[in-house]
Amino acid sequence: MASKQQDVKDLVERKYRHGFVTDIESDTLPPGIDEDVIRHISQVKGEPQFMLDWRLKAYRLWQDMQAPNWAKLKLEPIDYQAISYYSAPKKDENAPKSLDEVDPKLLETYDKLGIPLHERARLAGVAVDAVFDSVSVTTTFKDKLADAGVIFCSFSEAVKQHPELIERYLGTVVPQRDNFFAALNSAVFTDGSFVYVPKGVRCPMELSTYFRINAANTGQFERTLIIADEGSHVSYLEGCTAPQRDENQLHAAVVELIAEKDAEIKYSTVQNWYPGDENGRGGIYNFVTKRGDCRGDRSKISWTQVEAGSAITWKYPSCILRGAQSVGEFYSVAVTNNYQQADTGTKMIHIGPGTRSTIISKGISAGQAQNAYRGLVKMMPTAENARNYTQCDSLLMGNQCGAHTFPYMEIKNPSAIVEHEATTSKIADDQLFYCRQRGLSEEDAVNMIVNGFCKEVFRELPMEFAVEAQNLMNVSLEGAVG
Amino acid sequence: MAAQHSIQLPADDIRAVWQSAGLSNGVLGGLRSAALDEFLHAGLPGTRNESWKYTNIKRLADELTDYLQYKAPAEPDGSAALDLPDAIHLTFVDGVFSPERSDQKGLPDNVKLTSLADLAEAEPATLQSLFGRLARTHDSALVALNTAFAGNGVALVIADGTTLARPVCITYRSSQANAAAQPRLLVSLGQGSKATVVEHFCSAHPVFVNPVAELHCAADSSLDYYKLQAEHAETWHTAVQYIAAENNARIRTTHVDYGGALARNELKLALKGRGAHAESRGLFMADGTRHVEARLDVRHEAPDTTSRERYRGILAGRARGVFNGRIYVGQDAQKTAAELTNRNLLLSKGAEINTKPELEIYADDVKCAHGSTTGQLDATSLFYLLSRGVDKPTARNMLITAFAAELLTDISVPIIAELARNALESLQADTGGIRT
Repeated sequence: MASKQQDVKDLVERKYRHGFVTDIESDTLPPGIDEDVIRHISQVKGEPQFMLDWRLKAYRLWQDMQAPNWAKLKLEPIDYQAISYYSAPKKDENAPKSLDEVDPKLLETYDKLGIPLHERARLAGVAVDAVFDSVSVTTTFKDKLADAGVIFCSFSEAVKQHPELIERYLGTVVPQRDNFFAALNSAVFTDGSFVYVPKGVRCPMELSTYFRINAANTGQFERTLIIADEGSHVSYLEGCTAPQRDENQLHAAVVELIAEKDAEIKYSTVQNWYPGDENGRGGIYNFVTKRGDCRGDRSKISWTQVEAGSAITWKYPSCILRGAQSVGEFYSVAVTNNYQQADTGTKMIHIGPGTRSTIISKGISAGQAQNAYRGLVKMMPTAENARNYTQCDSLLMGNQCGAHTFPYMEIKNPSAIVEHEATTSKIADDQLFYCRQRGLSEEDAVNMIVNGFCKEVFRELPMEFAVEAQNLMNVSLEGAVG
Repeated sequence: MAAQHSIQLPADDIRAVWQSAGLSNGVLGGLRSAALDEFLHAGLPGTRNESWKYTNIKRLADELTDYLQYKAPAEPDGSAALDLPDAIHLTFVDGVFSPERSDQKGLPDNVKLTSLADLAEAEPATLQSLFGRLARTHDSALVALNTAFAGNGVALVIADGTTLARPVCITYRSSQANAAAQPRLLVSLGQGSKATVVEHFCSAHPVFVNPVAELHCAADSSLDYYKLQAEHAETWHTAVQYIAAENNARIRTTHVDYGGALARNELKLALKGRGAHAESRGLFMADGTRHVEARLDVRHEAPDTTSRERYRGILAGRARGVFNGRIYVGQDAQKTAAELTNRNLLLSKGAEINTKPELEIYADDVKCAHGSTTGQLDATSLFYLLSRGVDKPTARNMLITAFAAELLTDISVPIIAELARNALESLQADTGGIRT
């Protein structure tokens, strides 16, 4: 009798286990992560076997890893079993039908940022079909890119259409075991972007333009892979200045860039995720691994970032300068207000002879925020005549915030020249006084000085974004003055 | 239980060595015993520990018990005291103060110079107030180690308003190989007083030297501090100096490092009083396979404090240099101005430098800056000298000397500059296969 009961119980459990896989029609997986979850994600996305194996390997590595604690960040431990790792793209049914239904406060912010009217609807999550026919626009761009031979599609599409490219390049810059968050991303990433620019092609447009119109809801674990083949050129812009609301608290993206001989990749980011309220409640945790590999001689990778959002930013876009005479650049503005915390910077690993790198980092800290620059410049013994110049400036607004600089320099070649300078100060009273005396309000004066402080970075951004970024700066620091 | 990222130590053996040396007795017995527990708990730091990232002392850990074995100091060998005719010379042998080799005569009445043992007998309360006043055993395992094994050190107490015109020169010598020296120096400058202190480390044997110095400078006092590290080529040297400055105190420190197999110096400077000012400079150089590390931690804890730090490193042969300079500005330290520069010269292909100047700032009305550069001798300058008929070794030497010159001017103890220049000359011989 007892044995029969046991059998029944087993049966029930077994049924449940199978049910777990078959009942997947639902939009969202229950919280938690295990191998079944990963198999499920891979299955839903219709991925080939090698992708599933790759994800599982990452997951197994991740289980033995620990979240890094060396950054100057204070945060509660994250419960990774409390997160749902897959959620189907949102349906348009619940979306607002027109801008009239959107929170007026959000619209006001768009206005301040000077975002074009036709984009506001999309950003606010208005169902696209209701606004204008984006398909035609998209198609025009797609044709133009196809003519040039550029592949630009979502990551899932690339896995299906170009598995050979994915298999060849995925994880070659950021391997699964790279760090805790990269491993997690490798296991569960849902989507992202894929770009391949063939030999000798100069991508006919800023991929940002396309992206802004076509951006899908890629979810919290984003994976981007950009390959610039020999002699090609591409400029890519990620994110946008508009405040983006997102229910997912943890974001762990991975971006891999590969520049072959004579190729150039310019990657710009504007990050403005929800930073939490004035009292530091809520906000996105943004743990990003971004790395570019200058594989070929004379290749170039340039990172530009404007980091204004997120409660926690942990991000170090890096360059591995392998090819001779290859060039790495990093331009960054990081603004933190209220209780935001940012620990960001870059790594420049000089391996090839004659490699050059430039780092310009501007940190602005206001309210109770903590803003740290953390960077590494490494000159390997092979990096003959390599050159680095680093400049890190911090601006403090208010006496409750902090600004920190932790630059590491490891130099193993005497012919390499490494220069680093950093300053920390507040807006000088005499500068402010001068502006006030000329009739500017205090807020305008501060905005003007802050924009001047960030100018070296803003001018690296694509033009229309530079204007928006300036406005973003003003909006982010609202209330920090005085 | 050793802490995370630390090197395992034979705790029972070390405790037995400690007990047999009779260190649990006396006024400091309790302090030593607590420090020993702390040391054994912490273990020696491994390279996973952020502040030991580039300096590996695993081999020291392996030999530590042998080093710590008690060995009675004998007659010291090697170089004698610095050539400073008007100085008050004090000598330590194997980390223990040696009164018979020290000259304590002719001191002004309001300057008190005593061994810690004498002070323990005469004024235990004074000793307790000075010992560990600034040094914290939990700061670093090596400070705990020094405290646990501290032998008889020296205390120098200068009364308010006293100017000690003669420099106090302390020479740390060795009498035998494989000894561990744990010297402790305590200095207290009274209000408005003035003094010059010189520490000279010149072991003649392969030993382990782990000194801790605590220098407290009361309001309006002025301290001129020098440290010359010219240890035996196989010596381990891990030193920490704590200096605290009260209101309007002026501190000047000069570090010259060129000896030892592995030498690490940590200067912890706290500007605790309004208007305190510090000026620190350091020259570290190494050749062969030596390892040299200069660390600097300047804390601005009060308003209107200012500091300027200049450090330069010269690395030849296959030497490895490490520089870490941190400027910390606390929330109350408004109107702080601080400036740190670190410049490094790599003379040969195998030489290496790891440098990290840090700023950690919590006050807004400040002006802080740091800068760091690394490179080789400037080819244009070298060419200029060669075109003027100067031969290459001389030209190189001129440029290296010029690089170091800024730090070697305005030294009130000229012999230090002279010794540094001599060290520079021998350094430049070891250039490996450098292309110029």
